[in-house]
This record gives sequence, C-alpha cells and structure tokens, in this order.
Amino acid sequence: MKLFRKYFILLMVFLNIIGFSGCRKNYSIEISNNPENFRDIFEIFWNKMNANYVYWDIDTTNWDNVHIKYKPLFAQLDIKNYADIKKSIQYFNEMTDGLIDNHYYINFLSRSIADSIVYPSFIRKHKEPGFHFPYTYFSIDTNYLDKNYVLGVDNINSINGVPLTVLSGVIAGKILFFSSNHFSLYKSYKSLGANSIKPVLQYFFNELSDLPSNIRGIIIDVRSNQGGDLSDLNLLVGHFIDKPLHFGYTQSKSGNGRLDYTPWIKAFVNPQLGAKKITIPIVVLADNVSASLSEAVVMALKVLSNVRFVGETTWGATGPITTQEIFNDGSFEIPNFLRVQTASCRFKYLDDKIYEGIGFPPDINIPFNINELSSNRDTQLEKAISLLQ
Amino acid sequence: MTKKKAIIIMLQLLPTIGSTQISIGLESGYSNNHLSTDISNRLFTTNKNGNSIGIGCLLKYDITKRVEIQTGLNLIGKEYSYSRNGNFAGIYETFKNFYFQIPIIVAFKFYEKKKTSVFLNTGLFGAYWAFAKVNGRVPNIFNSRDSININGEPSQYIQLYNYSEKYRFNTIKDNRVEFGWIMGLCVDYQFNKKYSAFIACNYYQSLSDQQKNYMYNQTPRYNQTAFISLGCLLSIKKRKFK
Repeated sequence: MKLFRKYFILLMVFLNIIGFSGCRKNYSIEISNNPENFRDIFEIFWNKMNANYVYWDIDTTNWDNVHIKYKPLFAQLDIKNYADIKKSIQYFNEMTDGLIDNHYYINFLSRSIADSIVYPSFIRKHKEPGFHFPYTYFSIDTNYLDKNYVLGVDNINSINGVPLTVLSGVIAGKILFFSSNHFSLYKSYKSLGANSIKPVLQYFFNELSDLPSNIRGIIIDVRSNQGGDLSDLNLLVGHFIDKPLHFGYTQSKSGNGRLDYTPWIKAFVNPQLGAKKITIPIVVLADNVSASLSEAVVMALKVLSNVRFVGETTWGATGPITTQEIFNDGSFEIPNFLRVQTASCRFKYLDDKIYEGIGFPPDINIPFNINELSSNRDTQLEKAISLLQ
Repeated sequence: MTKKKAIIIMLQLLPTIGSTQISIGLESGYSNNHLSTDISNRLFTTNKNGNSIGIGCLLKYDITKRVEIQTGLNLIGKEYSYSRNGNFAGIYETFKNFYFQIPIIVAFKFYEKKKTSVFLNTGLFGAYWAFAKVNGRVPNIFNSRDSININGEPSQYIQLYNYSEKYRFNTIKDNRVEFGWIMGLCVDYQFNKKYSAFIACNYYQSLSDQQKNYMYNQTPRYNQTAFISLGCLLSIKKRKFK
C-alpha cells in the first residue's frame, strides 16, 4: 500500500504539471501606460485596436499582417527624433487606410505633430468622383422660402469655425421646411438663456404639433450636416412619431477577442412628449458629406412609409460614438501621443445591411451641382419640392 | 523509476484474473464554472463564476478491490459571466455553455468502513461544446432619455436592454472541442450486492483554449469546473476477486 501511495502521488504531480504548464500560455502584455518608445506605442495601438475596433469581422484589413509588417518598423524609430515621429504618422496612415469605419480618425497629442491627422475615410472619399466639401445651402435656400422664415445662427456653438445654423419656414405656402448644418439642437432648445436657435426650433415644432391645413408636405434638410449630439435624434425625429420607432440594431464588443460581440440589440428613436405621428409626405435631403447623426436621422425617417430620400449617398459613418468605459470598446488614447476616434458600436439598418463605409443611398439621386448653386439654384431642393406638389 | 518498481506498480494496477465487476449508473448534480482568462484591461468588469447543472450515465469497472475505472457520457453546464460594477452596475453578460463530456477516471479506494467506501478520482476528459445560450443586460445607445446637466450640456440616460438568446457559434473563433484533467472524491454506499449510491465531487481543468488560435496576442480562456453529483449504480456482473 505504501508503494501504491508513492506512485499515486507521482501520478498527481504529473497531472498537475500537465495542467499548469502544458497548454497554458500567458499572453498578457506588460507595457507602461505612458510609453517611452515607439515599440511600446505600436504594441498599445495594435492591441487597443484589436480589442476596441468593432468592425473586424467585416473589415478587409489583415490586422495580424499589420503586426508582422509594422512591429519591426516602429522598433527602428526613435521617439526623440522629429523625422522618425513624422515617419510614424506615415505608418499610422498606411496601417489604417483600409479600415471601413468612416468615423475613424487619429489626432496627435505630441506638440511637434499636433497639426497632423490620420483620416482614412476622408482620403478615400476625396478620391471619389462627385466628392465635394460641405456646402452652405441656407444662403440659397432662403430664396425658396416664403417671407417670415426663421433663421438662427449661433456663433458660440460652432464646429470647425462654422456656426450652428438652423432654418425653418414655408415654401410656396404649402411645404414646411427645416434645415440644420450640424446637430447641437437639444442643447440650444433646452438652454435656459436666450439664443437664436431656440425660436427656430419652437416655430418648427409648433408647426409639427398642429400642422396647418395648407401644409401638404415637409422637407428635412441635413445636407452637409456632419452629425453631433445623439440627443438631437430623439428631439428631431421624435417629433414625427407617437411611439418608439425601431430603425435598426447596434452591436458592441463583449470581450478582448477580435470577434467577441454582444448580440444585436434593437435601436429606437423615442417620441417627444405630446408628439403626433406625421402622416403627410416627407422628403429628407442629404448629400455625400452628411455623416454620423445626420445619417441616423435619414435612416430613422426612412422607416416611415411617407418618407423619401433625395440627394446623394451619405458619408457612411453610421456607428455611434461614446466614451470608452461605457462599452469597453471604441475610442481610446495613448497618453501623450495620440487619440483615436472610432465607433463604440456598429449599426445595422432595419434591412439587415451595415452601411458603414458605404453610405446610405437615396431613393432619388440628384448630384451636387456647384454650377447651379453658383446661379442660386438648388436642384436637390427643387426635386424635393416637385415631389411634394 | 527503476524497471523493477515500474513492473510492481503495473502489476498492482492490472486487473486481477477473474475480477469482472461491472456497474452501470446515472448521476445528476450541480456545476460551478470559472473561466480562467485575463480581462484586467476591461474597465469596471469582473469575471464571475456561473452555476449550472449536469446529468450523465456512467459505466464502472472494478480492476482490483481498490482500483476502479469509470467512464460515461455527461451533459454538463459550464457557465460564466462578465459583470460590470461601479457606475455600470447592472450591466452583465452570462454565457450558458453546455458540453457533452466523456471522462475516463481511475478511482482509488483509500477508505472503507462497512458499506461505505471513499475513492480518490483522477483522470482525463474530452468534451464537445454542444450548445449555448447568452443572456445579459447591455446599454442601448439608441434608446436614451435626454436631459441637460448642471453645466448646460446634453446628457443621455442610456437605457439598458435585456436579451436572452441562443448563442451562434463562430467557426473562426470558437473551439468546440475541449480536453483536460479531472481530480475529485467519491463516497460510495453499497445497499446490497446489486445496488449502490454515491456522491462525487470532481474538478475538471480544461487544457484546451475555448477559442481557436485565430489572432495574434490572443488571451486564452480555460474552463475550470467543479461538478458535485449524486448517483446510483447497478451491478451487472458479480464480484469475483481472488
């Protein structure tokens, strides 16, 4: 029996050796939160992207190959050498140029390169035929509106130096019109102080809540609107519905693995208090620089049976963005070096398609026409008007 | 180990001529599983053990008076959760995984008094991840209630969304075959020559990653499962030890 015990103990030791060292490998990467060299910066960037980016299962970028190719290249760079720092920007551009997330953006925190950006979707879009920069339509569109239109310009509330501009009025006595060049409406609308945006919104929402009998249709114009606060989705679209509107699905990461995802969950727009369902025809206008929340507005409105979309295919930045800790994914920062903006969730429309990187297509395609606009003629708006007359 | 000693131990383990005790039985019980992995980078997140159940049928073969071999087929739940804490308390995701499992256990009797025997179990197992369910509560960014905070900035109160659905296996990521080692204790009570009952507590340590090797810097995930079961055995051949 003693002999048996001895060999039994040996057997246990053997099994434990298998158990604790046979297949278990610890891949934990120990890198300082404050990287001191490009080797660390690359590893943090690669791993954060690996865990946080939400499109890996449909993105064509081979992220493992990026590791193979760029790890040695970054290892050769000296973080104290300005030429090497500039070289790193080239590498970041190359590594990310195929990413389909059209929100994807890197800005650099290091003072010497703070003016540099990495913006893959812009580079791609810029090469596409028909690309144009955001255009200020309201200066022309006021010509189409009846007198008494209301225009609000908020110079304090601006993006890239362009003030928030909101316009509403009536066209030919029968079409209610609303446009906004970016989304920061809720903040102005709920502001306790006076501002020039609130009266425009109050006018438009009052008209919606008690539509005059002469109004036959509505135009919502989000052309060249590059998005903004998520609250504006409920504020604007929530005035057209009387119950929650299911318009798609979102999905976020559930673990550190590249393919760890939560299930798809339903995306809703919630109605505003006292809002009525709008049943008259609606045309929504968007162009190829309408991005992010304006695309959500277009897609949500398009769920309604009385809505048509006129203009151009949108930018294709459909995944919402919020702070990293909410979903443990999306945007992140490498201290003292760079900040990455990327979607926190991905969005799938009600038709089960993901329009990220592609853009949401219009029902009626009317291209941007700078020559006509220069002659004070807005062909996209004219098409919308013709559909509602 | 000398050759002589090895021969002696083999002789002890080899079946004695004429010992043909075979029993069949059923068992069911409670399982507690821990997913051994590293999620330390995930903010406000803890990795929690999960409770589940298991059932199985087993076949036992007595090699000697003190050594038995057991095998069988189990369906065993290996559940775990990622649960958020702090400001994110209430958000969680639970993975309810079920495996068909075939253990091969060598049981050594080290205590016997009247009708009660106590065995030390050790062995190996192979398993197949048969089906799974996920449920949880996650933030739904497109279902918010809005307000203005004290700084005058818009604030979204993101509502939580409950879900419970069948898990869809990913052929690139999920490694559905599992193997590992077993260790445990079993207390056996012999009612008569034919019937006996037992209570067993076995620990299953997976040696295979729950994921296929599909990316660089992959953090492995191993199931560590404790299974406490009650069962009964029916002897189908008589004991004839020399």
